[in-house]
Amino acid sequence: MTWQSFRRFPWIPVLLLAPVVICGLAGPLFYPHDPTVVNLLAPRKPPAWLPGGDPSFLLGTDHFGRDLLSRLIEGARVTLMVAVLGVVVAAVIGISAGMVAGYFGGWIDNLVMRIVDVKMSIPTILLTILIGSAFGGGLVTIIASIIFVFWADYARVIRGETLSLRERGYVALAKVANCSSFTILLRHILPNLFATCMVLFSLQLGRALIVEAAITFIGLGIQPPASAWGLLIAEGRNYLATAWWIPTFAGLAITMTVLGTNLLGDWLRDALDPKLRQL
Amino acid sequence: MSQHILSVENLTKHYVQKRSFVLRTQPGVVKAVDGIDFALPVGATLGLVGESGCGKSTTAKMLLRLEDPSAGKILFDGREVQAATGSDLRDYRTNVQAVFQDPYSSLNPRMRVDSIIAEPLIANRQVAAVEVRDAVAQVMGVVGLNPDWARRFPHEFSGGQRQRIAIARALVLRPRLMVLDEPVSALDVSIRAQILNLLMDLQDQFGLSYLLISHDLDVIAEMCAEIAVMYLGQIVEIGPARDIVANPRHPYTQALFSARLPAHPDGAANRIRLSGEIPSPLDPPSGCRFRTRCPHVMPICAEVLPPESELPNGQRASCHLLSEQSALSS
Repeated sequence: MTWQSFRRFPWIPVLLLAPVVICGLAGPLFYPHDPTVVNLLAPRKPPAWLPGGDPSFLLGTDHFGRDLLSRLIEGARVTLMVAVLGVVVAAVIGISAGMVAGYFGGWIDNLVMRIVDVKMSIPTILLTILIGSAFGGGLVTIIASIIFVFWADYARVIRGETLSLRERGYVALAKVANCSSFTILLRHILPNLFATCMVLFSLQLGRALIVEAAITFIGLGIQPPASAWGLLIAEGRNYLATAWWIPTFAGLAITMTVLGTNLLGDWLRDALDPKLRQL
Repeated sequence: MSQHILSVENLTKHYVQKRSFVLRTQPGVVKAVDGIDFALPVGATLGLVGESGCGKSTTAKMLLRLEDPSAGKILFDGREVQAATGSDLRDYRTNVQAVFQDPYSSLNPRMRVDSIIAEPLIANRQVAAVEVRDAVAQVMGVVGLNPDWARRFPHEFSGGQRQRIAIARALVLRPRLMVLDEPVSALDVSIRAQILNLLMDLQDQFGLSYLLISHDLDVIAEMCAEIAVMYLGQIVEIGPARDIVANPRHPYTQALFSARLPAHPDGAANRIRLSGEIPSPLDPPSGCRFRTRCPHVMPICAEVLPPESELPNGQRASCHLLSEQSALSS
C-alpha cells in the first residue's frame, strides 16, 4: 500500500464500524460472559475502573447482573441485521419505485407518489405499532417497520433526481441510439443517482438504529432476555441516576455506528465519483 | 423524392396545456411547430435558423423521434417514419444520429469514453467485443482523438474534445443523416472552426447529410447549401443559402441577417431594428405571424396568412409584399 492510498483510506469510519461488524458476525466467539445469564449476586456493578468495579465485568453489569459488554456485543448483531436487511431492502424498493415514477411519469408516477403521500401522512410510531400488532413483535417487526417507513423517503428523493436526470442530453442520445428504457435506467440514470443514494443510505442507517431503539423501547421489538442496544437504553433509563453505565454504553455504541456510517457514506460518494477521483 | 434523404410535410407539434381542475380555464395550445415543410437532398446540409423559441429544437426532437408529431409526415428515403416502431424504428435510428449543443450534458459522466462511443453499436447490432474495440479506436481516429484515451472519463476532456467524442459516437453506426442541434454554440470561437471543419470533412468522407440547427448566422452561411428560416413555429423563408444570405426576401430574414456582425469593424451595418418581443406561441397573431414586429406591415397582414411565393431561383418566402409583386409582374 503506497503512502498516498494509505492516507486516502477511510480510517476513521472503518475503525468506528469494524467493531460493530466483527461483533455482529462473530460475537459468540468472544463474549466474556454469556449475555443472558443472570447473576443476582452482582447487580448494577459499575465498570471495572470505578470503585466497586469487578475486573471480570469490564463495563459493569445491568440490574440482573448480566455482563454489559457481552450484551453490547450481542446487540451489534441486531443492529447489523436491521441495517443490512431493513435499510438495504427499503433502498432497493424505494430507488426502483422512485426511478420508475420519475422516468416514466404519467399514471405510474401518480400512483407511486400518492402511495408515498399516504405513507408519509401516517406517523412512524403509529405505523410500527400497527406492524407490531400484525407480526407480533421481534426482529421481523423491526425490519418490516424499517422497510415500510424508509422506502418512501428513497422513492421521493430519487424521483426528484430522476426527473432532472432524464432531461440530460445523454439520456436523449441514448434514446436516439435505440437503447431500451431498462438500459437507460440501469446505465444512465442509476449510476448518476449513486451520490444521492449513498448520502441517503448513510443517513437512513442512523435513523434506522434510532427507529429500532424506539420500537424496542415501546416493547414491540427485541424481547428480553435477548439483547439489543435499544433494549439496553429502555431498561437502563430506570437506573440512570444510580447506574448510568447501563444506557450510556449502548447510547455510545449507537452514536459511534451512526457517525461511522455517515462518514463512510461521504467517503464512498467521493471515492466513487469519477470527477473527484485523483489521478 | 429519391434524391431527398429526408423530407418533412406539414410537420406540427402542438402542446396542449393541462386544464386547471379548479379554475376551469380553457386549455391553451402552444403551437411550437405549426405545419412546416422542407426537404433535405442527399449529401447536403440544410440549415434551420431562427430566434430561440421558434421551434428549431422541437423540430429536431421530432426528427429524432424523441417527441411524437401532432400531425404531418416525416419521410426518410421516401418511407414514413413519424410513427415507426420496433424494427422500423431501429432501422431509422441506425441511419439517423445526433449531436447536441452542450457537450457537458450529452456525455454521461459515469461512463468511460469507449463505452459512450460504443453504446449505439451495442444497442443495435450483435458485435463481438474485439470488433467493438476496433470500431471505437477507428472512429476516434477519424474525429481526431487519440485512441489511447478510450478508457478515460469525459471530465478529463475539454469542451472541443468532448464534442469530438459526441461526434464519434454519432458516427460509429455510420448513419446517413446527422441532426446537429447547435453543435458549436457552447464552444469557444477558436474551437468552433475546428469542429465545423471536422464536420465538413466527415460529410465528404462518409457522404453524410446534415440538418444543422443554429442561431449563428455565420455558421449557417458557412456550412449550408440551403437555409430555412423559422419564426414562431413556421418557416417564413427557405431556399439556396447563397441567395438568401445575399438577398433575403422576407422582412424577418432581412432583419435577422442585418444583425450579423460585419466582417470588418468599419463596415457599415445597416441594422434593421425590430421592436417588441416574440408573441406568445399560445396566442399567435392572426394572419401573418410576423406582422406585430414587421416594419412593412399592411392591413391585409392581419387578415390573411400570406401564401408562399416562389422565385425563379427556388427561393420561397411567405409574405404579402412578395405576393403583391408577383401579382403585379404577372
